[in-house]
Amino acid sequence: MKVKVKFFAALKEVFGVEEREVELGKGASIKDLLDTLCDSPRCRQSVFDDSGKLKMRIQIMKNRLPIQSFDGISTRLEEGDVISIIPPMFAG
Amino acid sequence: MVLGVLTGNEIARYRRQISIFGKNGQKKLKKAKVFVAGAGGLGSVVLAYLTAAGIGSIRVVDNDIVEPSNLNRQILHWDCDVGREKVTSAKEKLEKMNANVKLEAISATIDRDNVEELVAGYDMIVDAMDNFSTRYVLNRAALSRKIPFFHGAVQGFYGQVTTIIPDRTACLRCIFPEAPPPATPAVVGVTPGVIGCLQAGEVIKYILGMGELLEDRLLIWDGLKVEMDEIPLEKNPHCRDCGSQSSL
Repeated sequence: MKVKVKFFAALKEVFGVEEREVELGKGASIKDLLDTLCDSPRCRQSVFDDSGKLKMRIQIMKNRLPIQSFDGISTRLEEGDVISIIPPMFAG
Repeated sequence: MVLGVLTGNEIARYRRQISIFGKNGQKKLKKAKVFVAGAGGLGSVVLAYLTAAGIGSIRVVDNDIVEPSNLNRQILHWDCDVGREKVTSAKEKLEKMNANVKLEAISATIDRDNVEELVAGYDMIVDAMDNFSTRYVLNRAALSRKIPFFHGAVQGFYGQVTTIIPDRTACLRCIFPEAPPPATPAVVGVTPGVIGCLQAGEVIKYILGMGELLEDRLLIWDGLKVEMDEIPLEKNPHCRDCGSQSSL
């Protein structure tokens, strides 16, 4: 199964690409995807906290909706999904 | 100021934009009442461009005092304003910019208890806040009054913008169900310049009914790469603010 991942703002620089296709096994989740993507300590630290949980500051969208609308980090992926990973922006 | 009638002074002043959307368009701007939440980095830019464009009535609400660390980006506040209320400082500059605009400045903290009263009578809300808890309060107020909500936020060299139209587009909570934890923001002054201009442009287009709005599109500005990216959005049917289970 292939999904497309898009990185935004500062995460483009952290992951070194703006988007990439990732091949995953059937039934893979957002967590599986992130484990695949975070292949360096720097990438991992930008997404996960010290306890291995997804940082609250990171927003992940599955297609047009945030993953909180599904099962959060356990959300199952499907062929052709577009996953957007956005760092937080809150200042005014 | 007579609503719906342009004076000779106004026709001369707005000539370069009347040539785009006509006197009727300018009259629409003059009749509009815009609520701006925040007089900081985004608010300074939004307020300046809406005032220059000739919006009829603007109410700005902010609870803050000007500090030296604001001055790299909050362009309505100058050295001489440190220690003053931001809304007072902003109103003073804007009135000098364009005396045709009716400006009302309220120094207050926007919360669930006062938001309905603060936004009552206004046609739209511009989000120039610095925190998500107040943004959610404004989002709900916009949904309950069925008025547009123009979201903007910045961080470093990056920013995001979207235009929320109740019953038609994803609301702020559909896109960001949870607030990021509070932190001291780092912002380069030009970033709220870009994002505030985009927000003001959306407001003006909405009033005029021109062009395409950022509906169901989250625009993300990358000032380091000088790129604009977009994420398509949709309403979340289970959204706690605008979904079927919402108390609104």
